Amino acid sequence: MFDEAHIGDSRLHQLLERLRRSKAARRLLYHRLFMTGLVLFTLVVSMAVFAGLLAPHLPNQNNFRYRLGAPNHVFLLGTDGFGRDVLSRVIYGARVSLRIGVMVVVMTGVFGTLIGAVAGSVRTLDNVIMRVMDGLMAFPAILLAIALAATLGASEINAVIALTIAYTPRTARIVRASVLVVRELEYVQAALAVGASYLRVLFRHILANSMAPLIVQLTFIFAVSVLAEAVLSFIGVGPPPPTPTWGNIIADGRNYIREAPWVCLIPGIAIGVTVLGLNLLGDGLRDVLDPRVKVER
Amino acid sequence: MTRYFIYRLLSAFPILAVVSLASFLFIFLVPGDPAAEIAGPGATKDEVARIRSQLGLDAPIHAQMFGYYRRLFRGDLGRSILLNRSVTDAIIERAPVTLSLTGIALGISLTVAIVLGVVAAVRQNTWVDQSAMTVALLGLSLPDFWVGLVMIYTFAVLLGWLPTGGYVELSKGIWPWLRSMLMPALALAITQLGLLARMTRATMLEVLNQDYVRTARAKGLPERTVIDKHALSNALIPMVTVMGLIVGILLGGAVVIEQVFALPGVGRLIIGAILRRDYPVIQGGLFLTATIFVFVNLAVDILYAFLDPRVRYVR
Repeated sequence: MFDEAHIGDSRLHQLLERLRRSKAARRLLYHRLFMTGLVLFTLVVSMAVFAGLLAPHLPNQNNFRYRLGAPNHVFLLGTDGFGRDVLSRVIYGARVSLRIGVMVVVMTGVFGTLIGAVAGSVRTLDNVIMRVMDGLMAFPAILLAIALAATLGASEINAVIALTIAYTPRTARIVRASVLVVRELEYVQAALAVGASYLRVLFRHILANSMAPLIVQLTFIFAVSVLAEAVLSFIGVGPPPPTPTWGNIIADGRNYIREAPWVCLIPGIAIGVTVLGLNLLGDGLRDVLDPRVKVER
Repeated sequence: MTRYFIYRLLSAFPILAVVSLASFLFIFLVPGDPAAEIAGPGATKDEVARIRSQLGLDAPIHAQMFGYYRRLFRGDLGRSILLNRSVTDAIIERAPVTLSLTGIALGISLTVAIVLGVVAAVRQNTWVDQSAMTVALLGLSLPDFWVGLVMIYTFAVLLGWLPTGGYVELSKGIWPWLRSMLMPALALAITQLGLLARMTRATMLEVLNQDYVRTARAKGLPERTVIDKHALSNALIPMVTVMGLIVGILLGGAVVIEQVFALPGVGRLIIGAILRRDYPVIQGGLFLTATIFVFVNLAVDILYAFLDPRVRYVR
């Protein structure tokens, strides 16, 4: 009988949840800045997905006869020191940036949730885990990422690992904080009282209801990862050249900044558009999902 | 207050323990043999062995750790392999550059951010608010090193107003020093500015809705006085808490900006060490920046408790 009550409660809960979600979705639809962010980000995603169709040239095709060519009708945004088409390289660069961003988001999300859930649930481990996270957060994230990426060896996957280590403490903190709040709520206590196992309650109720702040945070981590990946490539510890990453193109263009400023300029704008889009998405999600901040707009 | 002070001071120790341990363990992340990595592909066995003993890697791990902490407590961060000198000395020598850069950047971003944030809050939902927040959002979204490069192209290459890079010591005069610092500090400031301006706006909006602001207006004070004296001075208190965070971001950003403007600072030292696998400098640099961050945050928390007495009782 208790079991039935529990099921009934969770069905009602699901229904209410769906309603709440759809309300959130409606509010997002009318959030002007969120929609602007969505448009910008969709633009970049389609650039990455359809790179093969959109790019007029191959990203690594050298044309030494046209070195450092100014924008013209063949090379719309000019060429770099190897005569490679800047536009095509920037379009293909979106793939690397987004791939790294997605991987960092997934990995910081998973590890942050696991670490945060353990810290929030097991009192004896909480202090130790959180002090380790505090210690990691004391290193400037970008410096830690550069040091880790260089030590592990310059490659795309090592960049992802480095950024994940640098940003996981942030997600772990957020998840822990929500777990601590949600676990005291009545419906969680009720689920425990009717005899549901803690693990089940943790995954089905506590974590499920701690996701909103994590999703907001992950959007910003995506944005920061795109910036950080550019820094790693620029310093020379990201995916190695000739991989067309936005940071690599800027690092390369830096050598010809007098003769061919467009090589430097264009990828920076691409980074700016991507990060701006993600920041707007994050702001919108925070306005709608996070009940603590009711931002007047 | 004393109790809070002692509590806060003690709570910094576990974090410092993690920071020092992480810096120590860093060298064990190196795939393969760090000594062979440093010596390079053409090195003889003897050279590798010499570097290994120079790094202390031939001792058992507990002995290495003991030696590391013994040196750390004496303020000794080890010896650089490439520079063949003490890491502590190398860092101290370059510290003025980094401090100038971060100090000026902090000054610029604070001034601009507070102005933007206050103006945006006071003129909420007008075009003034929207343009101020657009500036803030752009600052958050553009890569700082790229902003630096665009500045170099505009002000050094095209207009020829400022040098493309390099550092002029303060002892050579304030103006030349400032000239060498202007672009790097601006590039660094722009990225901090966004975060700070948005914070200022949010806290200002909160404060402007408080009863005491309404009272101040009701008793007929001029709006300027209300904003400056009653609202802003209260809105600035929570801002103190982000200062710790900002210092962390500034230290990280300085590393990259020093690289762009060829400034011989601590960041450039660390990047050079990272690229050339000079592990003692990497470890020392990481440890020191993190320690500075911990102490800045400690100072911030204590300052905050001093400014806002309520914090002292919240435990």
